[in-house]
Amino acid sequence: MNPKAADGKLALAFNQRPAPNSGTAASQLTAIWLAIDIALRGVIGPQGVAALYSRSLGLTARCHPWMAVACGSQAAGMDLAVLESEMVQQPLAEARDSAATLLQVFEDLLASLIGSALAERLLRPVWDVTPGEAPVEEIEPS
Amino acid sequence: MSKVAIKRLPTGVPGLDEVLGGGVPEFSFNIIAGLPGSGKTTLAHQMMFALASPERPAVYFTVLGEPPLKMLRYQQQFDFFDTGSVNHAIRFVNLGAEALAGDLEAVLERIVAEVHTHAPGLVFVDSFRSVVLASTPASNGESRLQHFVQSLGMLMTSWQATTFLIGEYHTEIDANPVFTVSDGILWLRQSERRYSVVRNLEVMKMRGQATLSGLHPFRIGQAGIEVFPPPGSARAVEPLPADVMNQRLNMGVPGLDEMLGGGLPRGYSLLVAGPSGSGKSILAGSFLAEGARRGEMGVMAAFDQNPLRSHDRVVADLIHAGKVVLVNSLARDLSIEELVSRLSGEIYRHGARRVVIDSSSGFEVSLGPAFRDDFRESLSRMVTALAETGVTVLMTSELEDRYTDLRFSPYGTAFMTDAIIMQRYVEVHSRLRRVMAVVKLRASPHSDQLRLYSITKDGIRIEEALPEQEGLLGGQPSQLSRGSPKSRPLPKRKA
Repeated sequence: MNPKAADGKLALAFNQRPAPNSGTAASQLTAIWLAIDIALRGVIGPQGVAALYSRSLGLTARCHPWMAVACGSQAAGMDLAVLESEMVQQPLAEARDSAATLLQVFEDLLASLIGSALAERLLRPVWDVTPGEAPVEEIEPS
Repeated sequence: MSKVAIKRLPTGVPGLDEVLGGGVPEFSFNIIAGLPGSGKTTLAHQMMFALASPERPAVYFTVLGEPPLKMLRYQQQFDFFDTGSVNHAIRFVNLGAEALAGDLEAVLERIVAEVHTHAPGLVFVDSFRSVVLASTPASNGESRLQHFVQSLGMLMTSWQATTFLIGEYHTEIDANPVFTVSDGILWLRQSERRYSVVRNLEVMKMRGQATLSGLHPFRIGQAGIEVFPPPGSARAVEPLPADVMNQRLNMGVPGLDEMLGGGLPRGYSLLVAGPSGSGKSILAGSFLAEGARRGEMGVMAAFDQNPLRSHDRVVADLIHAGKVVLVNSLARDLSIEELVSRLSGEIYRHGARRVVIDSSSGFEVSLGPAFRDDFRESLSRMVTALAETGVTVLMTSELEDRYTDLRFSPYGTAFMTDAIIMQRYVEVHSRLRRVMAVVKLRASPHSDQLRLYSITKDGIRIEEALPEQEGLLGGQPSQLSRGSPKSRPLPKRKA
């Protein structure tokens, strides 16, 4: 899978958040992954989310080799701390670019498995969260 | 004090509500059982998407077995899968982590927590059996399973949730303990016979309502599952006024109506039996064309040849003009239930009055091997079921031309139709000619003549009778000499 332009909703949600340094960018990426985990783990199980996370890292590492380190520690599930600590060490431009690519790859991967309509439906709580807010589960329509 | 009225929920699965006796009882606790690949998950999804609404939300618990990603990937291929319902009326919840940890109580607690949170009117657990068996030694697996199912059943009923547990079972004996607990059991089976696999559904139990017993064939297609209930549950077309019902139908072949004593009585079934090439399909086409001329829609089930590819364009033109609906089956695993269901569906949809089945011999070949043993019975049920819809049926039957016996069908099925027209080849003056006779017309006078007929570009043309010859059907025709009752044998045919 070749990463396309990072113009998907997850990547946009990340890019819309201002980040003055790699540390902030890394925290924001972690927050988005936590939101993704909350949105998806109930449906596909924590193992299912971890498997998609690992696969996305592996695919993104082809263009951003530093991610391979985070990818290698996937056996026990999503280890966001490793990803964050590696990302902090990257220059800001690379950190932001690679994070956006990772999110794009993940969104494309999910869409390739369950279709873009259902993927968007399941991920909606993630990008519905405004910057700085904690992710919340979608509220049932009354 | 009035009795409680149990509401029956329409399942959204064509044919299933009829088999269930009106739908699934609200708040019932049901089991969908069967082998892997038998369609359990598809059935559950189809019912869920039909039944779930914002007012009656559904929670679908996935446990072990098929990974949820795959399940969502494949289930959305069906037409019923509405992505817009997901996370609104329908919520998928994965219990894999709890089940893998082997903690049954945790699984139950998680189900209860989700039910508390989302207050679903519908709950699905797929597969409930793996919840228990994954974490339990085989020796006490079934007793834990019963305990688990019992606890879940109590909770769900008091939560007023209609529940479906989906489980892989190989034999009914395996399921005995949970039989007791459940209100309903739907068993999906697959029977293999030679090259065909036939899917069947059985309602083994459904408390509080009269279900249709036996195995009911079903098919999984793009739209999901379609169950074919037994013939006889077909919907009648809008009945014609009594004066019209008493009229006779014109056959579209000049002279044939007179042979039938004025036409074929409406609502009758007619068997046209004859050897290959005798013009049975042409007669059937004329019958449909005459109907179309009179504004009567026709339905045709073609098994021998596709009328759209036939050189005879009569039926093809009627189909293109929307005056005849073709039920074309290339399947080789057809059941009588499916054919009747498809025919009666088209009859009902179009208000059709004339039905052609061409031919019963081709139909037999189209039946799945598992159904062929009961062909005679099947044909009888089909004719009865179609008669109940009020249509007039013309069925052709391929007949080997034998000169030593006079049979009208190779199956001994001639008794079941109201009328029989026989076509035969005869040799007259060294020419192979065709003759036709009305053999039977229930409760009506009819011609007893054996009439020559030709097949022309305009269809069948009935010609003269052969009063000067006798013994035509026996293979040794003889000519009656003028003025003498004695006959002189015609020269014998050379072999």
